[in-house]
Amino acid sequence: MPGLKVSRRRFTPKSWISGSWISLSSKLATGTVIAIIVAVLLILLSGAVSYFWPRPIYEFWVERSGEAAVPVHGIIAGKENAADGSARLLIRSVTAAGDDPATPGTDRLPAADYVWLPETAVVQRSRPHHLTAMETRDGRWHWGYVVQLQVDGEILAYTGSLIDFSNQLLAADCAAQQHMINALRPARVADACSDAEFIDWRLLFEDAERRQVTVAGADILQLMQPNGAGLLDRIASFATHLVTFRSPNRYAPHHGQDIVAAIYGTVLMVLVMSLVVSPLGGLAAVYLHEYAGRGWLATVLRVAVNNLAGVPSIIYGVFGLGFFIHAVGGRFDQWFFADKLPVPTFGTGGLLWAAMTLALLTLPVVIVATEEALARIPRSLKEGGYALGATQSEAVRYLLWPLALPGLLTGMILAVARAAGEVAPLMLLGVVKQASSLPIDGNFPFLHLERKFMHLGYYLYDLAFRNTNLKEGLGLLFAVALLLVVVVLVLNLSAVFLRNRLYDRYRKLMS
Amino acid sequence: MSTEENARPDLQSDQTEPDQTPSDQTHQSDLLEAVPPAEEAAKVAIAADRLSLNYAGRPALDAVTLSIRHGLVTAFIGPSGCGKSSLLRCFNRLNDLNDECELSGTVTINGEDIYRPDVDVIDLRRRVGMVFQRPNPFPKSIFENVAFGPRLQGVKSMAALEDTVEWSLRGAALWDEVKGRLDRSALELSSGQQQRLVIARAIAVKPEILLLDEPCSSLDPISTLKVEELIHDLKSRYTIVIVTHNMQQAARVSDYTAFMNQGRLVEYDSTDVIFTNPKDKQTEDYITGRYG
Repeated sequence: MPGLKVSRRRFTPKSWISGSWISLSSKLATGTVIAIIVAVLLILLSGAVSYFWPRPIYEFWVERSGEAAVPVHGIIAGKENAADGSARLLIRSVTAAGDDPATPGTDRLPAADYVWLPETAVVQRSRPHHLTAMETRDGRWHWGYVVQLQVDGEILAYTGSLIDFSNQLLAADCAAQQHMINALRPARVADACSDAEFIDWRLLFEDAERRQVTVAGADILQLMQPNGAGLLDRIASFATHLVTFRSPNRYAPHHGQDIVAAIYGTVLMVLVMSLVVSPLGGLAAVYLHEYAGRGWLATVLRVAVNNLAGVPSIIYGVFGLGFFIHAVGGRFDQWFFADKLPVPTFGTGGLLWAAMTLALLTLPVVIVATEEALARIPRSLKEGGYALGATQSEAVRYLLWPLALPGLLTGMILAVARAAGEVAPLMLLGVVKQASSLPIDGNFPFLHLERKFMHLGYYLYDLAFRNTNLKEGLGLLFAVALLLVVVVLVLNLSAVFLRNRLYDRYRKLMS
Repeated sequence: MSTEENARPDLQSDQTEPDQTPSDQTHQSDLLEAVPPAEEAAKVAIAADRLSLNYAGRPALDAVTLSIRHGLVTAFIGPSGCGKSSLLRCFNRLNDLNDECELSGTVTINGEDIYRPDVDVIDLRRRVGMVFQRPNPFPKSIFENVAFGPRLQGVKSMAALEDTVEWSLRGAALWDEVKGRLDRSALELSSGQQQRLVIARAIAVKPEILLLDEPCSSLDPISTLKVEELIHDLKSRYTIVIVTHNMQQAARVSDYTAFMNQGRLVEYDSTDVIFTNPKDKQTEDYITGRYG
């Protein structure tokens, strides 16, 4: 086509930057937003991965002033460069003269602690394959060598490799020794083994300073030789630890059950909140849109709703404490649980009141989103209903309400995202560090809304303050933070999925 | 240009024929008398008397008086904003939905004043069905769209509903096209089919009168033709009032035509007279395309 000019505009980095300033600045803004989101996720992800990834154990030979070199076993937790150019390593090890020195003659080793080693003092470092990490039930970590294995008092041949040993046992078809094999597998967590399977086995463990202790198999949580493990073994170890939410490297001040309980608490609270806020918000929106008209009352209501969205969440917490817990809950107790007083049942913080308060907190979002959806419904649709002899309530129920549902769900998505991450009001409303029982269990009536509960956001908050060694503790923080993001994402995606299914049905009408 | 010149001499020659003087001095009260005496005996379905309507203080109808014959098709024509749709909406009290709407005068249907305070508006709207400018099927299945009205009236039996749906869809000449997919969404239909579905929905509640508010304005010519044929078929069973800005359509489908302008009823007569021998200058101008 000779008459037609050929466009030279193609997508190149230059063409992307060129263009009007508004297009450029909007691109930059979008790019910044995406970069921030990606950065947040990457930081969380890398922190979480490093928390669950089995790290190598080192054997350092350390020379202290004038003395002969001594071995130190441990994990490198960090490195610091001093101003004068010298570097020092932060080691987690048992050699530190901690507050819990080994008592000769007993079967206890000192607890692991952090120690700084000047890099110049380390004359040699290596990663021996058979160097073993052991976590015991009392939460201590030890690094050293397994010297001897005993099963039922009998000493077994031991090559130094735990894998060899467990294969040896497997080959001998020792079904009864399953527990031991589990414990011996690199990175396998033996936590889940029941005591019934347990047979008497123990091992002789020797630490860097050649102190030997006999440890009973029942006391061992994890036994690993990460240095000798191949990549696949490491990945398997990572996956196992991810599932149990337990680090292969360090003692974590928590149990896997805590995380599970926190997930339960978070999800259940959000679900109860959704059950409360969706009908309330939806009906309020219908009232405002359909019945309230344009009078001063409606105006006041709208202004109030919009302003509620801006109230700090802690104020909702105070309101929930005063209104739900003390006023309503206290009354409940007097009426229905008088026999248990003075021990409060509903008159104290619990899942129900937390969910109700968060429902109030998220109500404005739901109302506004639903009202917008109602306003988008073509007028002709309602008139069509009236023309067939529908009353106002019939038109609302059969024609407007189904079409407002996607909008309601959009509001719910925003509400869920906000509620799942909210911590401040929950601290007044019954969230706890450690719940003795889940709010949902097998005992009648199965759902215990009056119970105190755990929450991922609060757990995160608590972890951050409990952790004095923040540097390594960050791993767990990131892992829990990532988990919270995942929980919110799953909740959100389910709402998005639901909404899109509804949208598909009505899309043609709305366009 | 040429068509206009061709059309004008015809109309002028028609006009000079009778002794009626084409002028704008026609008063609304005269219009009732203007109905040919031979048809005076025919039943009046809708009668409006000095009907005025204000939207938020702005007049939409100005003292409209007319009577619509039972069993015939009456068309309202006129330029946009002349109040023809507003007049139509007075007949099923759909204007009530607008708070800013003030109405004076009376409307009687079969001799009953429909604006009396004790009138059941719901029942009135059942008796006076309405079809809108743009097809407005409900976001439900084809079946549920047609069954919507009967269900509102409390029909629960599935067999009865199925009968009504089939009868209505046949009545709206849509049955053959949709009988295999009644459970599909009504939004999947073409707009012509949607408009016939809406007509089926309207006749499913067995109204006496059908108000059609520019039913073909958003349809293609073939769909328009189908709807016009449908109006022709429905004529035998319902009194039909149709608002249209398509004059050919008014000429094709209606028995009587009312020309409105600026909220006033300018001329109301049998369609033949309006289109061949209008008494009013405004009507003539509008019909010959000099206007609006």
